[in-house]
Amino acid sequence: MTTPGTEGPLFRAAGLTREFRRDGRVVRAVDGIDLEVHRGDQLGIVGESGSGKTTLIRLLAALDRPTSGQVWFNGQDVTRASSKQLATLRSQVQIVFQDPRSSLDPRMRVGEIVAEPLTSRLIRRLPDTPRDVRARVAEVLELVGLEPQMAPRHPHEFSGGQRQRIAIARALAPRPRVLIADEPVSALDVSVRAQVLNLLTDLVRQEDLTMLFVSHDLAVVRHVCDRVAVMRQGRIVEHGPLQQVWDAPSDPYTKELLAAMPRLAVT
Amino acid sequence: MSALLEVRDLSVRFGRHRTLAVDRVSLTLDEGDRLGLVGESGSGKSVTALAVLGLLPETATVTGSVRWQGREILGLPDRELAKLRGQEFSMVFQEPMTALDPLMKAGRQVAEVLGLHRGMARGASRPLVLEMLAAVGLADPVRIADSYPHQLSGGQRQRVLMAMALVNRPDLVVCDEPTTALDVTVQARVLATLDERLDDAGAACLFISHDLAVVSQVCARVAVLRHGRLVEQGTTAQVLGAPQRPYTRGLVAVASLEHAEPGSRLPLVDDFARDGGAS
Ligand SMILES: Nc1ncnc2c1ncn2[C@@H]1O[C@H](COP(=O)(O)OP(=O)(O)OP(=O)(O)O)[C@@H](O)[C@H]1O
Ligand SMILES: Nc1ncnc2c1ncn2[C@@H]1O[C@H](COP(=O)(O)OP(=O)(O)OP(=O)(O)O)[C@@H](O)[C@H]1O
Ligand SMILES: [Mg+2]
Ligand SMILES: [Mg+2]
Repeated sequence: MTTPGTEGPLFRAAGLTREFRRDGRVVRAVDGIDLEVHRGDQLGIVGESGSGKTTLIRLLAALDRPTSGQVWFNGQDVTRASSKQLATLRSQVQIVFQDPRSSLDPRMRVGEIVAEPLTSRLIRRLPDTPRDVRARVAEVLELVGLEPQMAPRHPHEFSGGQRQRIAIARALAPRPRVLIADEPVSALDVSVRAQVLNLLTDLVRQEDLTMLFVSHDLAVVRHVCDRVAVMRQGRIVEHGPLQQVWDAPSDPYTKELLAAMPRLAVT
Repeated sequence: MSALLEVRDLSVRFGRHRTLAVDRVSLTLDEGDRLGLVGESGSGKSVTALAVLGLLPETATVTGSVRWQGREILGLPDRELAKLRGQEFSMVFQEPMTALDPLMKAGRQVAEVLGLHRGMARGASRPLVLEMLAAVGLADPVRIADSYPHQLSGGQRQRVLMAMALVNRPDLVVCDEPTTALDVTVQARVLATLDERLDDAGAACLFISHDLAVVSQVCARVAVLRHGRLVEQGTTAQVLGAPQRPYTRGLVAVASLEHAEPGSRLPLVDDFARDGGAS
């Protein structure tokens, strides 16, 4: 087992399993997953709807506890850690949730929402955290293609794609070392999506961002990730370098994903 | 004979000082028509759809005309609009969590649509509900029906919404980004079901999506919105195959990631289009 530090993988999962039980029925959302993510990796997680992608990243981010199996962050077992022991993880990892509507507090102004991680007790003392909160909020809003003048507005006054970008801006504001993003570009039109993907590519290059990127879209994952794990029914059915999986998929579901990709049906 | 849905010079403004979110938009849908509505984030697609169905908040000022089977429905009392929605129109909302009741099991929410509009008793509707859930590709419809929204994955919720919109065979189905949480295999299944149900009922569909490939499969006609205005409208082959406006040309040019070198700088629409006249 690795000791805390910078040697081993950033995230490690072993035999990770999460069951949901109800009325005597058991759903095994995550079923015995082993996984390693190293610093500077960009891992894409793709898979069918309901295959366990969101459940997996919630377990990795210690937002949920496994039924069995373990997760280590930086060599530290987070599955049984106290909230105090989770401080390192919480300060380094930012998350973009799948449903922006329910992750953005409707009573807060967008400027406050984006500023929140910057002013959090865990993060504000870190050396990389931008000091000038206002300036940083304006900067990240612009990076995702929103106008800084929109900061006083409330989340419900935005379009779906604008809300998704607010969630991305908030996650990027404190310059996190690790970004976990669940379908972060699914609601974006092609041009704004390109802008956000360019932004993520830059961050990966310049700041060595580690990224876990969940998407149902293999083409998007291919653009920003170097590795991909394909999930089906709670398991990873295929895992490898992106280009390899893209060029020569081995799992039948991955093959289907590639074959069913819709194309413009006009000439 | 008048069109099924006729929207004329629809404008929407939020608050007193803000610019128009929708600016004199006109659209027509006949029976069985499928019109795609595309355009960048914030261009007014959802607001247009919500205005047509009378679902905008009080802060919105709506002007123009929306005729449903020849009858003006803009400004109709909420009670009457509510009757139309679900009976004659339905909508798949962009953000499923806002449209689902967090305290009610998914199956019951689908059943309510039937109960409200067909007076169907709960027990009687159960088989129909399960059949509808299966038709949108939910492999375990019984479990899904007996789950609360928070116990479902993003794509499962989205499909519950689609089931609610189709179960009652309405005459107009508005789909606002209905497949954003679905992978291509499930998406194909859901779109096939949509196609089938629309055909069966001869229903019209207003289909909002940022995925031009999907729009080209579903819709016979496409309208392009930019900054609240319609900048181009025509058959799918015309608009996506031979776009006239630089903005639309840009949209089509950046639509596919497949041919981009991984990690390369992706072009933006603005790189193609300085569509000065339209903005
Ligand atoms: N709180 C819960 N209670 C019961 N079942 C749950 C719960 N959360 C998730 N599930 C079930 O676990 C499975 C995996 O869900 P998860 O949200 O991880 O899927 P996903 O891969 O993210 O899907 P999507 O792409 O549709 O978002 C699903 O079948 C879902 O219904
Ligand atoms: N309730 C509201 N109050 C104030 N402004 C609003 C409200 N709803 C939408 N807007 C604004 O109206 C404009 C159009 O929004 P709309 O939701 O129609 O965009 P959209 O084309 O659906 O975009 P997306 O693809 O991101 O969903 C946006 O600039 C948005 O900020
Ligand atoms: Mg999910
Ligand atoms: Mg919208």
